[in-house]
Amino acid sequence: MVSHTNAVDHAGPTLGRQPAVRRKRRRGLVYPFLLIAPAQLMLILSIFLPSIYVGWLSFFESSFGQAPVFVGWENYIRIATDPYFWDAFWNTFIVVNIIAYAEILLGIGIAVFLASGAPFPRTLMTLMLIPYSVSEVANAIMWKTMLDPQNGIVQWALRGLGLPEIPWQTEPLAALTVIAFMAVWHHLPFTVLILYAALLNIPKDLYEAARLDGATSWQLFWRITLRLLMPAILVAMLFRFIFAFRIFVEVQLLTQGGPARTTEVLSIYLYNAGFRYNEFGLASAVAWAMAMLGMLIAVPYLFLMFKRGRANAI
Amino acid sequence: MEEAMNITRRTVLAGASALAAATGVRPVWAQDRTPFTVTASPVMQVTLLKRDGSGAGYAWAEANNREVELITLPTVDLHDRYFREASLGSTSINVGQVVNRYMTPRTLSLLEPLDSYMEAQPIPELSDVPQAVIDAATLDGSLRAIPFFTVIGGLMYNEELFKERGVDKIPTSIEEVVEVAKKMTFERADGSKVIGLSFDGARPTQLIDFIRAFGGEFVTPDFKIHVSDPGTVKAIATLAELYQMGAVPQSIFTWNNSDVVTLMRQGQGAMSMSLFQFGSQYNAPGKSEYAGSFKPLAVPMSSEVDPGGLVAPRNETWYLSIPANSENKEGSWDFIRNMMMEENLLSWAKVIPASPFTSTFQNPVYDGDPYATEIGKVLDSSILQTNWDNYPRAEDLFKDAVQLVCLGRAEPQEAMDRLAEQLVSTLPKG
Repeated sequence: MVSHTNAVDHAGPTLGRQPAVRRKRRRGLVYPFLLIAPAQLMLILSIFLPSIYVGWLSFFESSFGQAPVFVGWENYIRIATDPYFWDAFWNTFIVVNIIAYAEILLGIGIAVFLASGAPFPRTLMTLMLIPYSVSEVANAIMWKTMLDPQNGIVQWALRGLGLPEIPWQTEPLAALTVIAFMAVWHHLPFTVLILYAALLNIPKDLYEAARLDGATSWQLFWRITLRLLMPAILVAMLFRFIFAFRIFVEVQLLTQGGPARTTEVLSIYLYNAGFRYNEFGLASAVAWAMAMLGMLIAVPYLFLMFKRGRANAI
Repeated sequence: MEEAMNITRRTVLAGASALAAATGVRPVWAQDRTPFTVTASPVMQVTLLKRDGSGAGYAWAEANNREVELITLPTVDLHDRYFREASLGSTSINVGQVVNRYMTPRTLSLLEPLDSYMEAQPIPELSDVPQAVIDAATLDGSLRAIPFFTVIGGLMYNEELFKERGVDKIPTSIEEVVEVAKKMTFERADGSKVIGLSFDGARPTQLIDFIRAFGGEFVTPDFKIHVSDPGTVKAIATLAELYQMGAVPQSIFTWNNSDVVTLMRQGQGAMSMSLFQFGSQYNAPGKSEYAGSFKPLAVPMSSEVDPGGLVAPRNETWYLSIPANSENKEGSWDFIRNMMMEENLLSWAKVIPASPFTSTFQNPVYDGDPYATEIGKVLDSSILQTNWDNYPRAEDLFKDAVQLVCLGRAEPQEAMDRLAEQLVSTLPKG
């Protein structure tokens, strides 16, 4: 006689079998969740919960030696009506765009050069990675020293060549350009690595087939390399936009946002609010405003990536 | 041999257990000494808690079976850390060093009132400290911190560079200082440059001696704004003139003291308007190319305002304080009181003339010391910066205005008038 249990276990799909399958499936999901739980817990504790706290604090007036006082949207209204905040936003926008596009253009150039049979590719790749191994602070101090109007070797070389010195300490546009240059010099290896890895994954037979069809070098680059590299370019741009939006070290160590706040970026504005003026509520509001504005800049690229991903899936 | 080399789980566990046991033993011994945490600037490492383990602070710890844990940070980070800790429910910090420019009503409220401690175990020498220094550390009539290290603003010049350029008369008025600064800005045949006058940044705290020399002021203790006074405007206009002709470093607005020290040590700066106590850094043997050449000079007044007079210079005083939420405050007070004893003060004051006590500068230990002589002339008249909660904002507004004038983007009077309007919103209400 077949037991009811056996009938449940071995018979075809029946009402009695499905709960057991679901239970088995649920048990199967618990274990993977347990494995990723420590990392998720760390993310929740180190990012999610502090973000919630900062969001809460942004609705309060808070400083040393006083209990937080609820002020509603006042902090957000203050920064929205502060012209210095919007100056800092536009400075950030300009610097971020210079950095992102310069890095993409240079990154593509270097990656294509390395992938197209450059001599000593490993040595070149190692040399190319050196700037990324330097800390941001060391990078900023190094360039500040080289650009020092009194003793800087760059300024000395420009004077020797009969060229005008770089007036970064007095001209905001020159200062922002120098800041962008410093950031590009430091972070370019990261972009090159992303693009180079993607380049290596482009099938070589596509190029062979195109050459057989009489394609020129430019057509090979434009129609094959660039098109197939687009997902990696979007990823690289997204990363650089997000990281560059937080630019702080280069500005703080070079100009401190001066002269007269003309090179101030959002992170410097935030730093001053939180650590110079000790207005923690205001600083929290600036932090959330930065996050929202950063997301606004990143949304077009996210949309393009999503669209491309869907197109590939279809 | 192979068996000896064979590492098993048993051997790994045994080794790890032995290591844990060994490391666990030492903390038991160390726990005999109670930790005593001090937050301080690097100045503590050359005064009371020296880098080589000597100093009155370590001697006190040895005598009281305490283990000093010194947390040393740059000034901004130091105060940020200290006040954050003092804002918590409780803190392990026993003594914190605070500089006067961070002592506002808000931050003073985080510090333990010391009146009852002073009554039980007084520090008699405090009567020898200028009253303004005591007042700066007082909130609602209650003393909150004890001054232990005072630095005074002044002028320092490189005697050798003066001789090189044929400047043999030491300036006796601020106008002469300006003329010397112009003359001492030159380029040698080998292309090396010398700058006439440098400051460490363009903040009111650093420029105030220059401003006062022309009869100007920033904000007085009664919270009256003086930035658009004729003396202040003239000082800023003169600074702009020096800046535009290159007699002041072009990147001065991003400089801090270490940049000035480097400039002076390398012989690229002829004069600096800084703090007298940095003279020891300028003259440091082995580090300075002009060690021994730097001489001090109390900043002279304008010949039009006070002929022959000396500027009442800025006074920056560091205090020792106890966080209100600290544990074992009696131990903290005992530490502070000990550090204020004359023999302990003199132990480091011989090297750095930075005692807050006027009488220290009459001590024979300073005989023949030019820095102590100049400091002694002006210590009593020195002025602590007026502080209020929004002072950092006011300072930044001042810095922006001065930069605009120096860059030629605003006229001095117009910029100072606009600054005076902006400063009103930063002042305490009422």
